[in-house]
This record gives sequence, C-alpha cells and structure tokens, in this order.
Amino acid sequence: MSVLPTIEEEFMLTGKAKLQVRPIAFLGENSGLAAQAAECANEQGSFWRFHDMLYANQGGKGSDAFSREHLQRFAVALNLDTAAFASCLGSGKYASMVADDTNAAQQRGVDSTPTVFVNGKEVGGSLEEMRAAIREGLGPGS
Amino acid sequence: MAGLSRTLPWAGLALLGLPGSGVAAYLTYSHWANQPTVCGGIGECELVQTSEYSDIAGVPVALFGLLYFLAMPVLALARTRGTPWMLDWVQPAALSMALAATAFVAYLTYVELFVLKAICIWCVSLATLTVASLALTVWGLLSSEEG
Repeated sequence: MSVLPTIEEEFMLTGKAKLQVRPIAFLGENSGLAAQAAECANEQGSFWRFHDMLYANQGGKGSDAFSREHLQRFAVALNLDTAAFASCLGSGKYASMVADDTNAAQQRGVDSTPTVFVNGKEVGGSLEEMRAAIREGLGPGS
Repeated sequence: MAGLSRTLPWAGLALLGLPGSGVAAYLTYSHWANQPTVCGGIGECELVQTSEYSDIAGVPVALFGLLYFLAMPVLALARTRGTPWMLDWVQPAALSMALAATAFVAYLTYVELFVLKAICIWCVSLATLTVASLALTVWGLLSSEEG
C-alpha cells in the first residue's frame, strides 16, 4: 500500500477520484473477525491505523494473531475507546457486510489482498499501473 | 587509582553510546521505514512498535533515545577531556538528561507491561542501557566529589 499516499495526493485530494476500501476475509474465521474489527476501528476514525496494526501483526493462515483477544489488544495499543470497540465487535454488526464483500470479491476472482479495481476493472498494484488506469478513466487531458 | 576511578564511569558512559545509539537507530529506522522489527521470536515487538505509544506527534520515541545516546558520550568526553569551565555544566546536564531519560523509559516499560501487555526486547535493552547510563553518571558525580 506504499503507493497509496501518492495516489491520494494526485487524485483524491484534488477531487478527481475516490477510494473505497472493502475489507474481505478468506483466511479463516479470524480473518473475518479482523475485517469486522477494522470496520469497528473505522467508527472511531482509525481505519488506517488499525489496518497498519493488522498488517504488522499478521500471522499465517489459521494463526490466532487475529483472535478476538488479540484484536482487543490492538484496540488498546491504538488507544481506541476499547469499550465501544468491544461492543461493536461483539455485536457482529459488520459480519454480514464483510461476508457480502467477500462473496462479491470471490465472484470477481479476487484471491489476494490488496486487489485494486479502477472503474470496475482490475489493475496491478504498481503506482504506474494505477496512475495510468485512473488517467484513462478520467479521460483525455487529465 | 583515584584518577582512574574518576575517569572510568565517564569512559563507560561514552562506550554505552555505541549499543544505545545502535539499538535506538534500528528502532527509529524500522518505525519510520514501516519495516518489521526483528525480535527473534522474543516478545511482540510489532505490537509495541505500531502502538499509539511508539511515537509522539509522529516522532518515534526511539529517536529521543538515539539523540540521548549520541549526546551522552559527547558530555562524557567533555567531562574527561574538556576544559575546567565545562565541568560546571557538563555534570549537571548529564545528570538531568539521565534522570529524564530514565523516567521516560520507566513510563514506556510500564506501558509495555501493564497497558499493552507486550514486551519489545529491543525496547527493554534500551531501557536497561538508559538505567545503566544513569548509574554511571551518578558514579561519575560521586567520584568527582570524592576527588
């Protein structure tokens, strides 16, 4: 995701493009829980910080790195409102959203993260590929 | 022997700058470069390094450690090699910095143990070196007074 700051500066801050992030889960039950936890962190304006925390502390497939207990510890480490976070995660309010996004992604053949779409078309993750796809979508003179 | 005992703590303080600045530089680099911190399976360095407590207004706390372990050897050398007028301010400056740094690492160690419930072995090493630097500074001051 190191290309994101550049894309953000060139296209999002100038109002030319918008970014939608869809956390999906395909590495087991805890992966789904982690995606929901990211949405819960988003409620407190900390999606990207939680994203970075998950990325830095990920384990392998099936590991307990994203267990409910560890996710709660990540919330503590980020100084989030841990009661609100626990309530959000415990409620499972984002479970169906994550499941729907995961199903939709799988139907489009997504099997790794991050996978990037520009105007509905999958593009590579390099800065040049993303930049070219966005410029193509914006049309001539962009 | 008296001369040696007066010089030894300051020499030790100067030498402590090597591992101290090395560890602090590594932690600063891994934080800023967003690189995984290699901990050899001991503790949970990543949790500590990506936590809210790992920086102050975007400045990694390890950078303060780096500056500290670069400054202390300079003070130690100034104490042993400097002119007499330096003695008036070098010793109090070293003691003030060592006390402040020890208080800071005590707070960070408390956060690791009781808030995050995770240990970063590099951070513990840095805390130990900081306490050692305070001990050497106090020793240096006491031996100066004795002389």
